[in-house]
Amino acid sequence: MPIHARVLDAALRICRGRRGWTFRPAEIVASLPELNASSVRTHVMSRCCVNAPPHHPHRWPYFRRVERGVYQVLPPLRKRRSEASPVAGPTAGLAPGAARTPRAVQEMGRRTPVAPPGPDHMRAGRALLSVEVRERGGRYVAASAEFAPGIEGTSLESVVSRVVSLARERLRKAGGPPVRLSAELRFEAGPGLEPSDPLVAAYAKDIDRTLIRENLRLSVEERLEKLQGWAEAMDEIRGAAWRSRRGAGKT
Amino acid sequence: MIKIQEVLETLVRHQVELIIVGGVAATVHGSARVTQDLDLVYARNEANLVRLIAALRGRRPYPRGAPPGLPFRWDVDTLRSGLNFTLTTDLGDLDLLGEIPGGGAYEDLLPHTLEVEAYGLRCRCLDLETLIRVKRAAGRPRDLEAIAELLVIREERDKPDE
Repeated sequence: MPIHARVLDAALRICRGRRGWTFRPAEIVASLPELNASSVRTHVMSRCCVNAPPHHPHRWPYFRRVERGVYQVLPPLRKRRSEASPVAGPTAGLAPGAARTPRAVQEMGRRTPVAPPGPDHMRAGRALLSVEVRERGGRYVAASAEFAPGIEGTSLESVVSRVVSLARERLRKAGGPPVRLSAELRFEAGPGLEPSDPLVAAYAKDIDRTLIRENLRLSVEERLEKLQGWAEAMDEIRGAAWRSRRGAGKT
Repeated sequence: MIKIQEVLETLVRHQVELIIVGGVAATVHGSARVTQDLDLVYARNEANLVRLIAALRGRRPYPRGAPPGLPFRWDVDTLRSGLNFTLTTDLGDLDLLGEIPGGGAYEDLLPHTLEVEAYGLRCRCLDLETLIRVKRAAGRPRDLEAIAELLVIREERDKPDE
């Protein structure tokens, strides 16, 4: 989800929670800890603010600055459904061996229903919940801005199942007509496990790890200087080869 | 051949908002591959375009591979009218990118960067995970080996100290 949409989503959730349509940028920053704070503030105060100075060629008309440090969600957006209402289906789709993965990022979303038009209470929409699952000492911990504290379990499947249950419960409490839901799990593996790509795997086998390890011992500046040195050396060698060909051509 | 230190000093001194991507970003993370140009994603707000123009004015920026003598003007209108520019300069080959496939524009990438310090300068560089993602998104066969190396870097980096 683009950052401007996440900022709007966060503002809507905060405002609905307090039943008022004003908020402070710091609240949005706090509710999106995984994002760069400066980017979030830029979006609230400039890129998504209709009465901010025109620093950006493209802006989204989400907020209005009402006074110093206080912003307001514009009326047309107040009925918009929060994008972060999460639901997910069963855990089918997890890659085999997922439980052994040291780190996984799972995204559970709700697709727009593709079934034929149903009863009136069916409603199209899209909501997304991002949950990060990490393994810690044989236990799995799910962290998300939606659930505090994190959810723990002894298996990846049990943690995902509890996240799904909590998400359904939240949606039920939020009210509104029932919706048809489907789940899409996107699995991003941590170190040592990568979505299958035989060509990449084939190249990886031949990577000289001693060079990588050597570089990882260097500072960033040392790595850049090493690259610069190589680039200069290559330039010199290329020049020498060219001069050599020129000389050979003359004789 | 790019003069990395001089380019970064010039741009940072002019407070240009930029993110190091591409081969030099891979080097920052520990890559052993050699790259000959510097790829930078730049913010396209008006103020930053002005700063970028000022930074490279006098460094003879010119479209790389273009025949000499074309009426290329290094000004804000040129930057505004285009998006990605592959340039030669007095400081070497420089790619100025308004956005990159699989990553987006400066504002989209900024949350996925880290601050690196080199030559007494601080600048932003794409983080390793995002670098892998955008390389995959580019979908170029030549990037497969680079992606493999980045994955190995991630494995080696995340290993516990021995």
